[in-house]
Amino acid sequence: MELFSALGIDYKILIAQVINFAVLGFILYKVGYKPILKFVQDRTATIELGVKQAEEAKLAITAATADQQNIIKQAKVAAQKLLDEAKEQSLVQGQQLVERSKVAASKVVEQAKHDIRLEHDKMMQGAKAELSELVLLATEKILKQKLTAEADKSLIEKTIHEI
Amino acid sequence: MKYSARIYAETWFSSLSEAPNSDWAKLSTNYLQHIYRHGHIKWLPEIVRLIAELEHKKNGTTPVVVTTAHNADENLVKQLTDKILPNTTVVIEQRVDPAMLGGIKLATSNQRWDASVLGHLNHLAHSLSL
Repeated sequence: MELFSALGIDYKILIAQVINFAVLGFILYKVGYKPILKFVQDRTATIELGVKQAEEAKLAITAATADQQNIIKQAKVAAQKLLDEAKEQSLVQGQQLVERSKVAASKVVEQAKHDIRLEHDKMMQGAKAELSELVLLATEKILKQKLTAEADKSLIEKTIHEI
Repeated sequence: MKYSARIYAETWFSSLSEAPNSDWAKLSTNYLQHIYRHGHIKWLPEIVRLIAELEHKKNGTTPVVVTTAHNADENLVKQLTDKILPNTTVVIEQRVDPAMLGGIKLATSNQRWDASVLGHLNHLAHSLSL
């Protein structure tokens, strides 16, 4: 006791302070520590959940990215295939078009040749007809002058004789 | 009754054949009036042709039209018909057509024989134009 007094410590105050501290400690333990601990635990759980979800999301994103890459790859392959088919088809159609054009052109040329031949034949026939008509007219004119009744009679006699 | 040129010709010819010659004029007048009333006067040339055909059929003769460019000798025409239509009793009708130029042409109801100069020329012209 004397020591406390020598040090300037009032042991009564010290006891009171110890009691105060104990009471305060008890109150703080009861009122403050438990809710804080619970809050911290809840918060930890929430963070852990968040982290877990984030990891899951990351995994999902990774998977989705892979799927996406796969889909893009497939789409690229399909597009390339379509492009190739379209190219091939256009090539075939082009060839068919060229063939058809050749056939059509050939037909036009044949028709033109045929028309020219017909026109030529028609012209030749017309010329022949005209020429023969001229010959006929000339012969008729001459015969009208030359074929007398007597000559005609001889001609008829000759004809009858030849039957 | 449905009329035709042949029916008119056959009935007309039949009536004429049965009637005496003195009634022919009256009979023919009646037929002509009947044909006219029925609006068939345009058939008259065909009716006359058919009557002539019936007459030839009845008599067993063949009508022949002989055409020449100049007046032809009857003997020549007879020679020709004898050669072309042997064993046939012909009734010859001679025609002159100067357009024929020369030669002779013969025609029956179903035959044509052309030895005219124009016919030869036409044949030649046709051959040339082919």
